[in-house]
Amino acid sequence: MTEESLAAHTSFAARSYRLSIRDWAFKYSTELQLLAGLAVMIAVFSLLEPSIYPTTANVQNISRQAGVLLVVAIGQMFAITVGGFDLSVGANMGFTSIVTAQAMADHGVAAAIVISLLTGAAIGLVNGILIAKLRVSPFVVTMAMLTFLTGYGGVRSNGASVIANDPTLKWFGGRDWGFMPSTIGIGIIILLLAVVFTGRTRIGLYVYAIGGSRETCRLAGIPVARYEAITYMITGMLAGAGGIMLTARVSVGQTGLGAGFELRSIAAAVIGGAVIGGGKGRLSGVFLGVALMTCLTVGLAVTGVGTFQQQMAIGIALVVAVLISQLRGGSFRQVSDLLPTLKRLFIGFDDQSRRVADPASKTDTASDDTA
Amino acid sequence: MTPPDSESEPDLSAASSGVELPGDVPAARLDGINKSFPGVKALDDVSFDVRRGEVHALLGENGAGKSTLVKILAGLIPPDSGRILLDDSDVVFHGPRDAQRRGISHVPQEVQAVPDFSVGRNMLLGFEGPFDRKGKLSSKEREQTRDALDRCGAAFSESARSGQLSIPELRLAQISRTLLHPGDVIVLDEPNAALSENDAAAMLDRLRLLRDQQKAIIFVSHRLTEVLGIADRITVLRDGCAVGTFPRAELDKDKIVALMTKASRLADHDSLPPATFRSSSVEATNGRPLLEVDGLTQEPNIADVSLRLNPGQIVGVAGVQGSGHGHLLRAIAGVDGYDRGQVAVRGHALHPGMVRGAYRAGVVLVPADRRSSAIVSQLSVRANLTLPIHSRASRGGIRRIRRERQLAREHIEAFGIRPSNTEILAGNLSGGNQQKLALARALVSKPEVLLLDEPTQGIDVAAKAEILALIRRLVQEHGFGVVVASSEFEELLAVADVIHVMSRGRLVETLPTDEADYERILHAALP
Repeated sequence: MTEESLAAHTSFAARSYRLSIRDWAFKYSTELQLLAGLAVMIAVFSLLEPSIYPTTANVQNISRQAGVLLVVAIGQMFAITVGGFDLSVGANMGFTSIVTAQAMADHGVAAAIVISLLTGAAIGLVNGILIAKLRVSPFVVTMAMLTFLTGYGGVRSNGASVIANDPTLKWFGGRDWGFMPSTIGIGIIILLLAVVFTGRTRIGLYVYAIGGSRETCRLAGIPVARYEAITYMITGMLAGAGGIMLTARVSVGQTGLGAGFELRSIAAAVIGGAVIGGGKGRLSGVFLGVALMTCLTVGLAVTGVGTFQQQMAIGIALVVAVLISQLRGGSFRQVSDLLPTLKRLFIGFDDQSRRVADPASKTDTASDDTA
Repeated sequence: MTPPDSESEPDLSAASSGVELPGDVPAARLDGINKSFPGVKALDDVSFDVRRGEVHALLGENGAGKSTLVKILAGLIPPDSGRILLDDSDVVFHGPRDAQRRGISHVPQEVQAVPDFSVGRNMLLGFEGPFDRKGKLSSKEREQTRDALDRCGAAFSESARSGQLSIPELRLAQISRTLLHPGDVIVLDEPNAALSENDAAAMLDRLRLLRDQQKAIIFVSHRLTEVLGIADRITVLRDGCAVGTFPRAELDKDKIVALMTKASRLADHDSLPPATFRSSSVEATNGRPLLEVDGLTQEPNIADVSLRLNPGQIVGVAGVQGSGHGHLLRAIAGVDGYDRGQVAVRGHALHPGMVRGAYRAGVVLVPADRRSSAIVSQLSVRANLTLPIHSRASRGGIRRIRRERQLAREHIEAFGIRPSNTEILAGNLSGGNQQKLALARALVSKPEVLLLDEPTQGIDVAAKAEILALIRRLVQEHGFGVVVASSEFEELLAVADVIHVMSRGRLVETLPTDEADYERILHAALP
């Protein structure tokens, strides 16, 4: 074989596993839409409040808020991708903030951080065992955990706030690393770790595979329950990290500190393209989902819109984002495409209508088996 | 070949001349129905009618078009062309509820009931007024449902909790529910599936009761004996065409089997590769079979099944829908448990219902339900292939992407998966290529016993041939044993060394492939 033909062969092989630009744009269309939406939103707010919104101080402010949500939403995305969700992340954050504050007083900052991360992980693991091994629904398990932890945090702190004012702890969510707020710094570090986790580790692959088809994984000999439980453990640990960051930010340990994060993290993950039911979800989407939500709330606050109206806006943004991604993904490209889906839901399984309804089969370039 | 349809002639003339002949006007008539699905012509100019006071049976193999016809009649799918006439007036159904309102009652194959509701409440589901209570039936409702149950000869109370009824009782409740609907046409889709012989016979008696009440009954079944026992007329479908409609008296089991298989079969056989390869190693290994199944029993699907599999051998399990051949593979693979019997691989018994145990022993199942159990559609071809623990594509939990790509390219090439792109999502592949991917993934697991459940279901003919050739080649190359369960007998004739025929959960006949032919298998398989 000559040098040339070898090269030609190699380049063909290389091409065979790269996505074309069109495929790439299709795959990342959620992200592209989010970027577009983000750009429009930033432009509008900048025009409305040119002296406040597009300033370094405001960018820092936005990223300070976004960092905590990013960490928690990444964990939430794992739980959603594996096929469930975790309503206890907010309570987990509140509980670990108590743990951080108390452990710090006794053992110092380093020990407190380790203990808190382990606490968060342990909470997640209990969720995971109940969901994956004992097959209780994620809704019931994590809601029970939410309630329990809120109560237990109150018991541990006697219902009061615990002072956690320590200059070292401040480095982990309270102050800036140079020009960059520490929360977003930690967020980005965790994001990078998560990229490696999803793309380069076996567990990361299994998170997606189990969420995509539990049965396929079972038949492939994968210990499904174990990996599912580990996924919830990671979600819990990241919520614990979020709890530490919040504690550092407000210098106080409090049970109610994380309230609302459960729904905001789910919203961010879903806006970013994660699908309740599992199998789909990308970190790039979650990152942009968090960015969109934070830019929106801060923007509304800056332009003088009240808290209540901000919540209304987030609710609308959530539905709009999901609707757009579904319209784009062709789940119901036409109203008539909806019918087979509805039939399947109400009348039962119907393979033929499923094939017709399946948007994937339309984009199928490979239907020429006969070739 | 098509005999004159003596009975429908006067109908047509009656319809065209506009003369009302009550009792002779079909309660429902389909005229020249066509229906295509992507790549398949499911129904080709099919006409069919049913009169009051008769049971009209619809027969045909899997894929002959029975269920499509039933779905059209039940308003579940619209026909591409053709007319639907009820009492000789044209209708168009807008969905199943509309068809029901116009007088077509469809009883689906699966028993459906809310277990916590009473029988009567379940029967009235969808008919209740705005203030009906969940728990209790009003006296009018009780009267209505009691009457319907009585007319079907049901012995249980309308206020019994549905969850406490047996399957045949629930089925009967479902059938008597049709008496609450307007109209007289009742479509029964395999009403005796999953019923024992006695229960099935009792069910037929109930259907005779309904027929005597001038109901028009369409009866879809695989069980020839039953069909011959109850039908007044029989329509045989084959490959989407109506072979003909016959009065019961003109047919017997042999004739029906011939009608179901003739003509088109020969064409199909040509397109499949001839079964040139025959494993010579049937008796070759040191006496010990690779897989031994002894007296496997799983109520009510599998009854006392024993079989042997040697390395390099392909064993076929033939069966029509509901005969339990799929259950058998799932039980062997440990997906479902079983009540009695034993499965052993190389002499080591497996625990019932333990997938991972079976997997470790080298038993790998490629399930029939491709999209939801054989592949992960949201993952790329590469990721699908790296799923099995044995893929060796990761070290210490860290994935080796170069190794994965290499693995994926090798398998894409070896299995002819198209397009040959390692990154395409598995869900975007065509059915045939998904099946190749499922096979490739099973191979990555290095199986000793490969179990294939309906490996070519829903795949076009060319891809079918390709997959069958692939199976044979793999066995030749790797020397593992394969059990193929299928309701498409040609494919078993093309790949298997020996064919076991399964009927109602039992192995009723064992045929070496050279002695087997299509009709013989079908004859044994039809209960």
